[in-house]
Parts: sequence; C-alpha cells; structure tokens
Amino acid sequence: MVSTALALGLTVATLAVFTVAGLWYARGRVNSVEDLLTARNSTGTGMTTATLIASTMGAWILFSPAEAGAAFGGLPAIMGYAIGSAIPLLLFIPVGKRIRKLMPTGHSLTEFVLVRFGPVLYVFVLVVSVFYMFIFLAAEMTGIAGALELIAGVPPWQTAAVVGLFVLIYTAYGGLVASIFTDTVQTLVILPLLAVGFTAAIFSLGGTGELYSTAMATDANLLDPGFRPGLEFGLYVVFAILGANMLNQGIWQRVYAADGEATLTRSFSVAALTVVPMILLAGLFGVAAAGLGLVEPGTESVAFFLLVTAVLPDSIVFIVVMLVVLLVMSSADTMFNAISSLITVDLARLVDIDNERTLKLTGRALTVLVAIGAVVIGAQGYSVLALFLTADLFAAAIFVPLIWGLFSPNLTELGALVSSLAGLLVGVAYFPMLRGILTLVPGLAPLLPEPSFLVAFLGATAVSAVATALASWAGNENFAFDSLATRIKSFDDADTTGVDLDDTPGSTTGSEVSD
Amino acid sequence: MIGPLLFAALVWGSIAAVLAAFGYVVWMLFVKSRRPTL
Repeated sequence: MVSTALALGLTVATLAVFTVAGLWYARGRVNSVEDLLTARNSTGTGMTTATLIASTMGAWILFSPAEAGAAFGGLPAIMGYAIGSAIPLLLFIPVGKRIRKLMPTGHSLTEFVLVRFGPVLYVFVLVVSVFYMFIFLAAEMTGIAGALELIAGVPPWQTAAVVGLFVLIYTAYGGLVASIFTDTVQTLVILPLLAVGFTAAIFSLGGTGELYSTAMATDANLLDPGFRPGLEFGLYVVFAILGANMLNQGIWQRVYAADGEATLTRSFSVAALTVVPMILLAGLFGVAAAGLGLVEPGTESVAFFLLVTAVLPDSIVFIVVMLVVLLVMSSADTMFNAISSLITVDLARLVDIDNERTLKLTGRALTVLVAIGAVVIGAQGYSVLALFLTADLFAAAIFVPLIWGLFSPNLTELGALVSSLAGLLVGVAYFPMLRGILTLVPGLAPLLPEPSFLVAFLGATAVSAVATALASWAGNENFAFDSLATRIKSFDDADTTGVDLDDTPGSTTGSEVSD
Repeated sequence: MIGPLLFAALVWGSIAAVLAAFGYVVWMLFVKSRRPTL
C-alpha cells in the first residue's frame, strides 16, 4: 500500500492545478446564464471530441468493465460494454442534428419533451434524468473514495470532500465553459496516461503472453468470445447504457456546444471510436485479476485496483491515482453542471425568474447543492450498482418514444406515456433487483416471471419501441415541428425564460413568458 | 477461444487506438484549428 499522505497530496495537487486552470479560463468568459449552462456553438472539433471523451469516461471505466470481465463473462462482456458505450454517441449524431435544427436556441431534451408532448411526460423524464445523473455522480464519488481507501488507506470522507470542493469551485464559477476547457486538458493527460500506464502494467505482469496463459489456466471462459453469460451481459448492457445516455443532459449540452453539424458528426464519431479501446483495456485488467486469482466473491467491483495494488510497482500505482482523479473530475464537473443546468432551465420556467442575475445565481447555488449531496453520499461507501441499474431500466423504457417524437408528428403524449409504462412494466417484472420490493405486494409473487437482466432491459426497450410504433400509427396528432423554434428560446433573448408555455400540449395554466 | 496472438493484437491495438485518439485531438486543437474556440 502506498503512503496515505502521498496519495492524498497527489490528489489535492492534481485537483488544484485543474481548478486554477478552470478558473483562469472562465474568467471574463461567463457573461450570461447561457454561457454558464449552454456555451452554444462555441467548441470546435478538437474541444468537442475531448470533452465528450472526458465527460462520458468517468472513474467507472476502472470499476465496471473490469468487474464485467472478472465476474460477468470475460471477453464478450467487456466487448458488450465497449460497444454499448459507443452506440449512444453514434446515435447522438442524427438525433443531435435533428434537435439542433428543430430548436436552435434550446437547452435540453426535457424542454423538447415539454413542448412536443406535455407536462406529464415532461415531469416523468425530468425525474428519471436527474435521478440517473445524480446516481452517476454519486457512483463516481463512491468509486474514487473506495479506490483511494484501497490503494492508500485514505478515509473515504476526505477523498469525497476534497474532490467535491475543488470541482465545485471551478464549476460553480465557470459553468460549462470551465467544464469543457478542463475536460479538454484532462483528455490530453488521460489518454497518454492510460496508454503509458497500461503498457507499463502489461510489462510488469510479464507481457501479453503471460497474461493470456494465466487467464487460460484459471478459467478458459474468460477469453471465450462465445461464452453465453458474457454474451448475455454484453447484450443487455448495450440497452442499459443506450437509454441512460439519451437522458444524460451533459451530452445534450455538448450537442449544443458544438459549433456546427460537421463538428458534431466528427466529434461524436471519434469519441465513439475512442471509448471502445479505453473500456476494452480497463476490462482486460479485470480478466487479468481473475486470471491471477486475486478476485474473491464480493470484491469483483474493485478487480482493477486489486491487480494494481497486488502486482504493480508504486510508480504505476501513482499513475493510476492521478488517472482516477482526472477521470472523476472530468465527469463530476459535467454532472454538476448538467444537473444544475436542467433544474435551472426548468426553475426559470416554473417560478418565472426572468432576471438574468438571479438565474445565474440560482444556477450556481444549485451546483453547490448537487455537490454537497454527491459528497455526502459518496463518502458513505454505499453499493450504488442497484440504483444505477434501476435508473438505467427506467431510461431504457422511456427513451424510444422521446426519440421517435423527434421525427414523427403523430405520436401523442398519451401514446408516448403508455409506451413508456408498458416497457417499464415488462422491465420491472423481470428485473432481479426490484424482486424483493415486488414480492412485498400481496398476491404478486406467484405471478412474477423468472428474473433476468437480459429480458428486463431488452423487454423494456423492445416493448416500449413496439408500443411507440403502434401509438404513432394510431395517433391523431399532427404536431407542428416548426413551432419548437419559436417557443423554445435562448436566455439571452430579452424578456424570455426559456419556453413559451401557452401552447404546451396539456397545459391549462400557461405562464407570463412571451415572445 | 481467442488465441494468444489475437489477445496480444487486442491489447496492443487498443493502446495504439488510444494514442491515435490523443493524436487526433492534438491535431484538431493545435494544428487544424484556425480560430480560437470557446
């Protein structure tokens, strides 16, 4: 185990450098609430690619893919994870272009849902989005707190507090502008660090030949691309990640931050191609840990760090500490800003705040609240996997009608809602992690099918998709897509608070906002 | 089962791909960029 003081010192130094960089860059660049939350049409291909890689690749890549490799089915499970992480980024290309065209001054998917469908579906989507992003954030905090405790004995509350505090300082001040800039620099450090760290680790473990022989001798299934449990995991994780990412406001912010359609296409394509090898490498370390017999029941989620602490020299351990800090920073700042952006945009609409300064202050205050919540939960060391998968299941059931509604004018709010609930019903019925709660309902237990993650995620998405297609076919709405551009406005436009609610489907009250 | 050569190709190919992505970002940020971003 490396020294606690040294590990904590390296963590604080890394955090401090990026905090100063974020503050320096944001100085004079955040003049409006739009700068704080949107940074519209401002990033070129290099910056957009870098911020996408940094914000989607959190410290979770050192936990979940390795756990998948060690415990859920070896190589095919890792491949599923890698491909599953790339698919949403590729889907964002047509979907992102479409939403930019329909609402050029928009901010989020929830805004679209409110105007396109109505308030009931909007509230549903908003709750699931915020829940998913907060769980992502809490998982990142829990992850780094657990990693530094394992590597160097750093008390979890100390790690969570320093990470939360430093990231909060530059995110609350510089908003999305600071987040994108620090993401860019972090990617420039993370990618070579990952390559150098993994190369050094492979040589320390005796080379790829030695790793291969050890894994094969322990469990040949680890390297079998046709291993059924691995294939099943690989398949359902694709749907879990796809739905969750479609509700990730951090990615929608970057769709709007890109300075054009060509930038959006290039950046999302390259980011998708980059996350595959990143996850593959991290996952193979789980296979190596399992091959070396380091993983015991209950320790699968820290397989990567078990390998690092057991086998690798201190110099590589320090690289890993720096890597994990950078990975957490880059995704935590994205989530701080994404959650506060989503709530600020909605708050402006609901409470009718039309003062630019008040709105900016509200955005910053919400960032502080989100950070405090994430630090408190992160320091507890809870297992967040169950919450993560539950949020993923909800997202898997509701993302299809939302995307469908971007292209089809016929789908009504009721149709979208019923489709989501139908998918959710099937998903929940098969979902192993909600089985305990469901069996508490009198008379329900004998009716429940055999639990299965694969059927839960696949079923939730497929049923929701089929129901959406039917609802769209039977739907009598003829939504005027042109109206989105006039009803969803930038905060920079005078006398507006984001959305004109007067014609929102299902809205009976309207608001004071106007054109 | 994948063979040792394919396993090595997977590992080294992934490392090369990560470095290639790094090269692309550097190229786009410092060489291709004709105007300041953000």
